[in-house]
Amino acid sequence: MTISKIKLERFTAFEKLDLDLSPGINVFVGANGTGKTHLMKVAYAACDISKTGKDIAEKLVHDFMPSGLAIGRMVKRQKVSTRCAIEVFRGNLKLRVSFSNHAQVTDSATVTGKKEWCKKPVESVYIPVKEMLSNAPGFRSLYAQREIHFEEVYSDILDRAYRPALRGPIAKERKRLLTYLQKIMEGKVTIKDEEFFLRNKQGNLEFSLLAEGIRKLGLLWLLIQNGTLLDGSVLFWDEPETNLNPKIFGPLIEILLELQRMDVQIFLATHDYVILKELDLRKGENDSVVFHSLFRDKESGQIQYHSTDEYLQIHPNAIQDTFLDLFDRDVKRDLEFSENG
Amino acid sequence: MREIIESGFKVIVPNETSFRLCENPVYRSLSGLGLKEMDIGWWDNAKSKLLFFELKGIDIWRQFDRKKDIAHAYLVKSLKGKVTDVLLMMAALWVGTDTGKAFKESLPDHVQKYHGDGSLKLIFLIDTPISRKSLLAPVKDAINKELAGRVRLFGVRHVTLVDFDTANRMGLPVTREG
Repeated sequence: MTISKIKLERFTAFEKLDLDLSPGINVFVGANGTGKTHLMKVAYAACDISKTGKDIAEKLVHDFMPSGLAIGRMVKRQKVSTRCAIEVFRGNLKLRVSFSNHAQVTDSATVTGKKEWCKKPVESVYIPVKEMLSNAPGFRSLYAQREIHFEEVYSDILDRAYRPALRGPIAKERKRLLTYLQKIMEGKVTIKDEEFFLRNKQGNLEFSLLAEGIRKLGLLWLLIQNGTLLDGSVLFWDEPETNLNPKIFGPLIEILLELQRMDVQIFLATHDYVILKELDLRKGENDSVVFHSLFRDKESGQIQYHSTDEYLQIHPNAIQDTFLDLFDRDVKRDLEFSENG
Repeated sequence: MREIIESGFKVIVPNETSFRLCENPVYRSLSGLGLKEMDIGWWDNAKSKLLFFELKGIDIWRQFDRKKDIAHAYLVKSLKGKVTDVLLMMAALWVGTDTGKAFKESLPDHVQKYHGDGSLKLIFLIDTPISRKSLLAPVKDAINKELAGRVRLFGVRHVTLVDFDTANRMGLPVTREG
């Protein structure tokens, strides 16, 4: 059962949001500060606690890391007393959490719908912008024992990556994806003493010596290989383009589309034109891809959104505008040059 | 074969299946009323497609006021007008309005009827310096965003916008003049 809707009221940058989601790929675009990552973290926290049974307010605090872990700091800043509300929907299920802007501890949050929500657990994974596998050895135990200032998503992703492979034969589609990734990475990922290696003809190459883009693909390989990304699971990926060679974007999008066809729900936040264009060029008629453009309304200053399944109708499209601006300035520079001889 | 010189390019197309709207007497009588056209049209037998081809050399920027105009918006506006008017002319011809019927007389046989969705292709060649080639794709998107609804009425998914090298790779019959 996929995440079907997110409703937010006075949460972080959002005054009010009621966003319907695709069961396939959801792509968030928008300028910095329009809440793309926040939306993904909210949905991820809701998915994660469906499996762990953790308190949602606690999970939100550890994923967002407000100063002093004061939950009230996640309420949209206002001078008066107010409350925020978060609602995440999966079909008929609704998980709701609300808290006041004065709240310091998570106990003061009001949560409803958790019991039913957790009866249908969903596997999820959040890939943050910063690559973590090369810093993995010892990180999880450090995170578990010490109050270090790291968002929990960084520890969570390592938990997922360290999972051993699933028992039993690997389904055909999954095997195909793994082979495809191995071809791009030119190797397989192995783990020894909490350290990740790429095993290829040259032997075992430690992740810290690999290009960051390859490490990201390695992570994807692990998540597919150990069954974290199987039908019914949810993948959140913040700026997949970071440190990735643009030549790999095409194969990467192909893999994401394939996962979507295997009923993995996917959330991406991107600033990259090639990622968007690859999705537009590679998606088939039966693929479900929805682009959510987040923007600040000029008059009210509030964050709003426009959703479309047509790439050309993404509006506003901050990424395209940037490229068009480059085109405009390039034309002007050439004309200036020819006019001035 | 017929050799057409336009905007610094040479296009060679078969005599019997090609046409230029600017040479059509009906178009000529209407061009003063603001009707725009595309440079060359021809029926591609191998692909079973009616192609319209517009060639834009660096002269495209002749009317452009760099202090006032925005380059991509200027380009989009110019190409949008051409596509819209060509589609209108073809619709008049295929529907059989009086003016459309008059158009027919000087156009090749294959052009005289609509051959179904996917049988029409609209291509713009924009002569682009190397520095701007990678920036043509967003311009193409911007044009298609404006035209998406109109071209789909005629079973066309996208208008094609290419630089000279891409036009060659596509096998279009165009070379640089001279």
